[in-house]
Amino acid sequence: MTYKNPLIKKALKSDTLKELSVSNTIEELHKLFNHCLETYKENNDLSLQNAYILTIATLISRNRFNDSSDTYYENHNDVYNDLLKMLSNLHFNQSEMKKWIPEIFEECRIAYQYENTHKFFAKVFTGDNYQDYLKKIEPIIFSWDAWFSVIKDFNSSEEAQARLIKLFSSDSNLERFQGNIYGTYWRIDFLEEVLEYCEENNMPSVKHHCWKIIASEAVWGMNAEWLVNQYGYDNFFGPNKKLFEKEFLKIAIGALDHFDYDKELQWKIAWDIDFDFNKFAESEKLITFLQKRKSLRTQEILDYIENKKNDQWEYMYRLGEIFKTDPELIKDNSKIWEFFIHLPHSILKAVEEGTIRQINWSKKVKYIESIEYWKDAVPEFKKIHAGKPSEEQLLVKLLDHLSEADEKYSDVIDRLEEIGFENFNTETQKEFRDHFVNGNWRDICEPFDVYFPSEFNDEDGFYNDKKEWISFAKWSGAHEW
Amino acid sequence: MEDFLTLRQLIEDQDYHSTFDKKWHQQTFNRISEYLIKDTEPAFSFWDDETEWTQLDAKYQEKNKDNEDMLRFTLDPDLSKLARNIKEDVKKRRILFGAATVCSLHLQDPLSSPKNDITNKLQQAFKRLSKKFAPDWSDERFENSPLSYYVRGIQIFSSSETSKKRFSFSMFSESRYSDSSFEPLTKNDKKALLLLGKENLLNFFLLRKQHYSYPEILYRYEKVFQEDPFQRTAYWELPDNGEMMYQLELCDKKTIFNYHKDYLKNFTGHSSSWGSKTFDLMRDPSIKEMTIELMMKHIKEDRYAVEEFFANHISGAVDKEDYWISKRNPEKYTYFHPNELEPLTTELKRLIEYDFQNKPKSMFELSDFNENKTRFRVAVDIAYFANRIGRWREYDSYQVMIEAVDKFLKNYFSSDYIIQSFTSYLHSRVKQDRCSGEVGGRPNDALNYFNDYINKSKKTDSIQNLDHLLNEMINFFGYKPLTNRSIYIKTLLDKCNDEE
Repeated sequence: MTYKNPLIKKALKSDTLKELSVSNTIEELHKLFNHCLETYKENNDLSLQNAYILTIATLISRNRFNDSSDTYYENHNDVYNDLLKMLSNLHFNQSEMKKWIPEIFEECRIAYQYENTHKFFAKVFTGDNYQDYLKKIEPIIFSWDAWFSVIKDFNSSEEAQARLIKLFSSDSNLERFQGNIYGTYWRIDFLEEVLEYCEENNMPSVKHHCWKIIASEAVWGMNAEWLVNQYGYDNFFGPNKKLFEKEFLKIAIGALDHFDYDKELQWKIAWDIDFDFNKFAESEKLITFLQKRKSLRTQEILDYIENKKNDQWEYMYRLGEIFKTDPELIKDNSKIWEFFIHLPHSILKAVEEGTIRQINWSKKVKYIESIEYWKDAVPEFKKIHAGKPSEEQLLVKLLDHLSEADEKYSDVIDRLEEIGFENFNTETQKEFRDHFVNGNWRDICEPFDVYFPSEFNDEDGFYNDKKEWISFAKWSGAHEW
Repeated sequence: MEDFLTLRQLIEDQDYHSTFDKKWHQQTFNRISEYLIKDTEPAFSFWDDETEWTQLDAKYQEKNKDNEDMLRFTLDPDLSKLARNIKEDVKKRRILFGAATVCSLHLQDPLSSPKNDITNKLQQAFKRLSKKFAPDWSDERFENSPLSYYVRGIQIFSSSETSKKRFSFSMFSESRYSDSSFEPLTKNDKKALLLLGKENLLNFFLLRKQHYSYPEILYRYEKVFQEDPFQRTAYWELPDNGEMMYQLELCDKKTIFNYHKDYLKNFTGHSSSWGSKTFDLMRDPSIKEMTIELMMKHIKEDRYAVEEFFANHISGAVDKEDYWISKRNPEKYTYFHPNELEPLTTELKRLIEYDFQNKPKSMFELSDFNENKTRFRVAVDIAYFANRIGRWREYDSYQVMIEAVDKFLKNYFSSDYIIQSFTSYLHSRVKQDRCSGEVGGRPNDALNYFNDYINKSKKTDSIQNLDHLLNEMINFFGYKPLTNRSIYIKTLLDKCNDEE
């Protein structure tokens, strides 16, 4: 990096920087800074010029630690407060320091270094100088937290809105902040936060410019549709609806073709890409996409049903769910349809042969009953089950009651106790052991392994009658504790 | 040592030491070794009454004797300051020892021409440093020990062109844990280490174990750790220390075996994949014999631990279909066929078979705590309640749910006797689960919830960790299922039987 600012150049060549650079930790830098400061004072050499060099050298050294425990600005041992104190005592000149911006940020490598450096300068500059400073660093700042605080600090909402729109209109948009949080929920979470801020501060057109990132996220990421639905599809994209649809279909068709060297990945993508396409305007691209997707999904189902490794119950749930969401996928292919229509009989055969287990029996029978084309087989299921030894039926019932948290379990135990384990048939003994005697990897019996909601996140919850998400944290009042 | 930070560069920057001449290295070596040797300050210790630490600690223990908050140390400014000073001093001296090692290598070749005066000074400094510890174990990991700084000094020096590849010290590489249980020292590694003196090295390892036997600061006020202070961090270090004691032949095998006793009695494979850590000194027939003898005795006190030990050591020999196990280099682990671990195998087989046959029968017998219910019913009752809590939205409100929890727990903990018995059961489970989260439940979380409930702290308004308490209650009031490890061992032993 070649620096233009003469003071930064001078600091980089200075003995002061050499001296400070041997520090590895916040405490060491703090000590060395004070040592340098004392030396300047003892030699009556603490001019404003030297204080600037010391400041630049300290900021550079602060960003060169090779210490994994390096922390954020708030650490009370950090050097920043002493730097500010020194500069204040010497009545520093904001205009002079403004000349270091943005070059001084070139020494930052990691997000928190940008954040630290920004927090320092946020205390240096005031008034118009601060606004000028914000304009200079907004395009280069890497930490998303710091970037957002920069946006929020603009006095003018027009300025903030212009910056936001510029960012979202660029090809890199949020990519610029990613680093090791790539592929996480972060983009959508952050976008949600930004858009909330924009709504509160009357910048409604920002969301219209998020079409690129939403298109990319809807294909490769997650939750994008959910975010759009918070505002309503038309309201979200506004005049840019067509741009979104075009971009989405371009990326989506590309994604379906992208993994043609690996069928399984390609199929996965075909299942992953979903959106309410009824909202889209009709177009050739849309038809092409839907046809391609259907073809890949059909291929996947065919492969799935030909793979004999799967358990019939798995087939039942998988195909049942597909049928409920997209019946045409099942109906339009004769091989899949044949398999689907005969599935209850395959299950019955496997049950008779004892090749599949009968846990959660009633739940499964209810599931079969829920599909129109399967429900005729239900009496046969009931008949087969009724012919099993009583302990086997009871065990199935007990597991059903436990999974439903139904207090009728108690009567079932009475009856199992009357029979006694030693009188169970061999198959039921084995089944009973698997469920109630042998611990799983956590040494817990499988029916006893329950999941409790967390008070610390919003993911455990339900939609109430008003279609509002009621998280456990909210329901329990934990978020107010 | 005003120029400490500069001297530190000797062990951080591999080119830095070669910028100085021999005279500078001699002067620097003399200066550092004199500084390290002349230090007569008492070592930091939890057990030495003369140290400033012990005196301050005693003062605050007295002052806060009625305060249950175990974190009071961290809030106490005098102790915190002292801890920080000790930590900095210890770290600084060890770094300087590493720097002195680099200088010494410019003055003597440890493999061909060691000089008495240099070696003596290194030995004296090492001896002195072996006794100094930082208060917190997070600063006392093996890679921060004086021996590691010594090795780091050698590594930095030997990374220069002239002496490249003379040493391996793969045992000191952190990354090795991913693909080996132990590493051999090369002939040159041994020679360089032995330069510090056999007796000094032995003393160093013994002192580290002694220090491990004292609780970490944050835990030392907890009763359970006071009763059983052997520290979980030791699991990583002790087997490596033992390896060095063995490979460097620092003492007799009985002493080396005794060094490992606590470790073996609390053995853990460190991973959810069986056999990723083995007790490798069992490759020596006499140590193997002593180990089996110890396990045979220990089986009565803690079968869980013995099974853990056993499962880890037979996995690699029998469970070859497991993907992770099959990928391991057998030279870097120590596995045995069950036949080679007799009579332990026969004894465990008998116990596991007995459990396998009798567990279902005992489940249908009456509970020890409720003469009207079988153990099975009690367990299912508790599981049913847990399931109800899992379906929390079916309760009218959070308050109603919390009241139901309270009523449920009151029903079980109806007398002091039951509370005491359950508390001591939980303590025994916590002890068993010293490497938390590896296998089994979360007894420590269950204990915390239970303590809050019994002490009626406001935290019982929460259901966080209630699931762990209910799991422990299922085991205590109802029955304990056969462990995953018992079933794993049974499967492997049955497989061996079938093959025979």
